[in-house]
Amino acid sequence: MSRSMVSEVVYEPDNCLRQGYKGLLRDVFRDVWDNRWLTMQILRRDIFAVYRQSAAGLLWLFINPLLMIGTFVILGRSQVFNLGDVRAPYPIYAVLGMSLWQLFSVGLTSSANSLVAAGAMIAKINFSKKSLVIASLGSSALAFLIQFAIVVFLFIGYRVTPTFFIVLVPLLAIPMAVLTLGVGFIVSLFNAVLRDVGVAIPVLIQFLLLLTPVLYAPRAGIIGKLTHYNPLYYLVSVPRDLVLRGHSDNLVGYLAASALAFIVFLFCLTTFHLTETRIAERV
Amino acid sequence: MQSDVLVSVEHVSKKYCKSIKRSMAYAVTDITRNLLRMSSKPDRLRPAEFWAVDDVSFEMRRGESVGLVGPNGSGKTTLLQLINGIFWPDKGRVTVRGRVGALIAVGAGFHPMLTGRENIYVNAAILGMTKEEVQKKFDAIVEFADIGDFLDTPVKYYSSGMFVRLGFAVAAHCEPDILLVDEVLAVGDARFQRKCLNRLTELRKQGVSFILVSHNMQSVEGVATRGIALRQGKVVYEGDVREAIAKYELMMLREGTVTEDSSEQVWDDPNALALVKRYPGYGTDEIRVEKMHVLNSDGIPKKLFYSEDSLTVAATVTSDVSDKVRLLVNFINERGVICLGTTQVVDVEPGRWRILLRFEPIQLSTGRYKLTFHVFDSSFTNPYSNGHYGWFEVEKRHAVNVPGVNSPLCWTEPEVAVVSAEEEIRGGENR
Repeated sequence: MSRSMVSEVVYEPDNCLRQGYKGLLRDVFRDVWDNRWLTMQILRRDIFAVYRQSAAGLLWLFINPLLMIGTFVILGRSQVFNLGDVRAPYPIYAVLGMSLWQLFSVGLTSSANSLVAAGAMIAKINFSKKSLVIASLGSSALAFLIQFAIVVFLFIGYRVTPTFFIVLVPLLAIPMAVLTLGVGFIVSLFNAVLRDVGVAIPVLIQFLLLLTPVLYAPRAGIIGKLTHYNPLYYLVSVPRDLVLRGHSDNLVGYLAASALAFIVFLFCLTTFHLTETRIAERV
Repeated sequence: MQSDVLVSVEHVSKKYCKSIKRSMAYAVTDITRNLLRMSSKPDRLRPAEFWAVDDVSFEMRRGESVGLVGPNGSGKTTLLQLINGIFWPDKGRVTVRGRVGALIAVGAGFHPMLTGRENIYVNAAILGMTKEEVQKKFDAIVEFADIGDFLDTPVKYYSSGMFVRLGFAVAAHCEPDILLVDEVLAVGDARFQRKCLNRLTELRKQGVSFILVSHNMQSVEGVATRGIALRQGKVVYEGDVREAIAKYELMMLREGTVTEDSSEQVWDDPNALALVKRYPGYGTDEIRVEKMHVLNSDGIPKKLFYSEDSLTVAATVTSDVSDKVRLLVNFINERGVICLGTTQVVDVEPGRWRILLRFEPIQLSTGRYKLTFHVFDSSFTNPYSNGHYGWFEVEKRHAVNVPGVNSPLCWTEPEVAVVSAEEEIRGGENR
């Protein structure tokens, strides 16, 4: 916004109803794009602030996944899981899956709290609340990239050669990120009104992790049936299958889940755009 | 909307909910209805809701600055939030032309773990500055905040003064067309407060218009060109800033709860002032005050005066001594500030007398006052009697133009007389 440009803004009751559907998506994306610097600033703040008063600092971003890998190595050696044919050492299988899963689980938890954490600021300063939610996904995206880098070292360590799909993993993870962000928009909105949502999310994620074959191979029975309709499963397992085997039996499922992810994202983002102003009076 | 009108507020109302549980239910209902493209019927009050801002209209043109005054809970802050677009009105319409900046809750977006330098960037971004703007103004912000080598220290190690200084510095360097200011002029020490006011003056010279909320009437009058007095969400006055402040001060006078030192009524004369404070051991009681009145120009006891009125302090005393006594008479407002005072020497013989001190005009500003009436011997060493008597009220009119406790156009010595107390004071109407 430059000073020479005199913009006129009108606020009326049910302001969001004044705007038709036409051009709505364009407005939404322009708003997100115009606020990209704000988003980056909040993202930086969120990442740096956490580790500022710790001796290891940003090293924790590496220590956490390394500890997790240690756990999986032990679990793998003791044959806790009956894996079926995964054609890779268990730690690689598990960490690759968990890195994609955590993009969802950590991202959703932090975006659920993004509006509530901003608290009084929302009621005092008028800024794009979308930036808060988008930025909250940033730290989980960073954690994903670090875990992915560690996976690369695991391949070297176990002397296993991945397929060339490994370079495409960041791209293959995009539908998962998009789905997380979409759900995150709605969840943050509702958590601002009903704090129950924020409390329920971690429990729900635990439950979903058990239902989704991330740490174990899919199997028959009730879980198998649920897995068949579980978009999260396709978004985790198909990129992993491609990296480990070069092909996947569930490509159609992956494409369908990706399409679903984008539809959910657009719907939730638009919903958020239309109602974010309602949040200020409730936070 | 005409081009020189920056802010237009037309019949705007905003409702709030007192109950958090209902508020949750209403929020869910409203959001759902909006998403289904249905009206949330904002113009109707549901149970536990009330109008925090009620049918407010005003316009602000380029070059004008508006001061919003009113008691706590009169809707000033809500009105600022509506103009800022933080939430939508429930009735009416707000139209804003130009960029809006907010000098509200300075430092609200600061993260305690980040350094001053990092927080400047984050906070500026939240306040709507672009990257280029911040880079251009960074040095000016740092210089204004005057935090020295603490720039690269996490702000949680800042003193609270440094914290608000930095917050103010960032907010005061975004260059809006309209700046909303909410009760932030009282930050920092006196030196920094002066700096803040200077910065606002500077911005005003650059053509920035202000909408200002403050309980400090001096700063409202210094910054605003127009005033709006609010009460319970409604506009009670719009126009001249001094007049708006006068309305606010009257509200404070009429509607506030009065804190009295004690309500020890020593006389059953309703026209007399009560003795509200006395130091019992201080004084020989050789001269005793029996009654205290404040009289108008007709000699009738009153409890309400206008600034330009004549006011006569009439103390009925009984003396056992013959002495040249020194009187100490002060007018003290509710905040304990002595607004006007005098010492006078009179001759007192044994007997019952009425001592009269005529202040013409009384020259006090709007407020509730008590008076002290202390009697000493002529050398100020030996007290005869002491007491605070109250209360009476003054409304500012004509003579006094500067807000604050008191600012007479000229100081005049009261006329002093000692007369016989045999003539009773005629009963006047109370107020």
